[in-house]
Amino acid sequence: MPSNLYDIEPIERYLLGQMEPAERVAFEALLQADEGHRAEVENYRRLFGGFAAIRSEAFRKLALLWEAEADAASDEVELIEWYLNGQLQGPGRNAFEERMLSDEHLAGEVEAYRQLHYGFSAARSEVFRDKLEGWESAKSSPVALKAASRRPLLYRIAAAAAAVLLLAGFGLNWYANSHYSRPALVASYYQPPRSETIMGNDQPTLTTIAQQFTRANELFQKQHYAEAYQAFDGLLGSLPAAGLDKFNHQYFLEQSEWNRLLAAMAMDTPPLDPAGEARRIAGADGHEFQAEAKRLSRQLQSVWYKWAN
Amino acid sequence: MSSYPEDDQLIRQLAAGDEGAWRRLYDDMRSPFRLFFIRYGAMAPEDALNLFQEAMVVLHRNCTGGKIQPPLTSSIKTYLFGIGKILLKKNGVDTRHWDDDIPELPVAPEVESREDQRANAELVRRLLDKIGEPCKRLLELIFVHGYVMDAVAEELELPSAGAARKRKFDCLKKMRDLIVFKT
Repeated sequence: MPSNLYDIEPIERYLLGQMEPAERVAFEALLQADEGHRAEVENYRRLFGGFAAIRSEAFRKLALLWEAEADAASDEVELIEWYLNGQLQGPGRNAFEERMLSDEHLAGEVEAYRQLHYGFSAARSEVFRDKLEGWESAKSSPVALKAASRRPLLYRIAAAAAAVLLLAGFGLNWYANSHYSRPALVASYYQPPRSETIMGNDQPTLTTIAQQFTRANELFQKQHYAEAYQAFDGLLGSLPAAGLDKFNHQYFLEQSEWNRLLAAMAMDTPPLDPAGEARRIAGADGHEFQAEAKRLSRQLQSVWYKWAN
Repeated sequence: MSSYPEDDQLIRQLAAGDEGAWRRLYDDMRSPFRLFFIRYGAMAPEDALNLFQEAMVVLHRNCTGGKIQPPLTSSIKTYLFGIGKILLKKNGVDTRHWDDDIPELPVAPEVESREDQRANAELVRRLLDKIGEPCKRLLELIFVHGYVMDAVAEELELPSAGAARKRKFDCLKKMRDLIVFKT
């Protein structure tokens, strides 16, 4: 049957779910009886499905934009909070605990937040205990004494809260400085060169590069970070023309990039952006220090790093 | 009387394409959705976020396509989480043993594969390019941007909503005839 014999309007209402139940039943009965009508509905279903798909694509882009604006940096903290306050249960809790076993950074964050959690919980209990005592003394004391009894109560509450916060503060400060200060991070990530890796005496420039590398590491180990930075940077500049084999080229490149980053981090005014360079290495598939760079990136974004530096 | 009057009101705003309402829903549901699927599905946090995005897209499609209408028989949150579970089931994850409180949905949300969606979208884009700019613009305003007829008439300087409506059916007919021509 020609398509212009069918009314589009009810077809649209049917496909967009705008029919009342009774009308829908009647319309479906009509379709059952007329193959041409059914085919017509299917044609329009494709059209409306296509429009809906275009609309979904636009919404998906919008949702990605919202996600980019969401505070993703706090997601990890939120996860830790769920774990500590018991909201994360069942298989999710087990998976999180397994992750902690293999992720030292995560375990450290959980421990730090646990201290905060306990500190606030203790402060709350202290305040509540004093509140109970206050109610009790208010019941048993004459009215005239009520006002006078408040001062010591408030004083004790404030003192208790301050003591807990002070203790928590000392603990957190110690944790932040010993794990997240720049010197602590640099020391934890630096690895002295592996001399056995340097092979291939048939490459004339290898000795020069190896000497440059050794010198740069010596400067680093003596904590002459600005000079070490220059030395690693210079070595990276010489590498492309050195004509080393792939193995040695890769070795000196990745070692020097990583150590140059650490030297920059140790300087008061880093000549490159440590967070940006850590992200770059973290994104470089196959880089010897990719895993370390991923961990370092997270640490550079953590509240502890900001606290300690 | 509706069991979820506030959600009924919200679903009307969502169905009308109120972007602010969608944004608020996105922000409100992001955390609880993540917690639910990390907790019961032991999902990695990034996977839970990807699932959330997919579930929101399906919810958007079902809302704007008239598949969810007031009065609701479940809350929007239940509906969204239910979509998440269905998406996981489609990927072969067995959610039957989950000790959760999301009931089986009275109305199963329509979950279409991304490939089918892309193919449908491509077909319509191709046809839109063949029906002339005025028809293309009119149909996009209605079916992609969710304009009501009054707004379409104003935007395209047509004399009335009725005129816009008539034009809409004419343009749809043009597209539909192209489908027949192709097949």
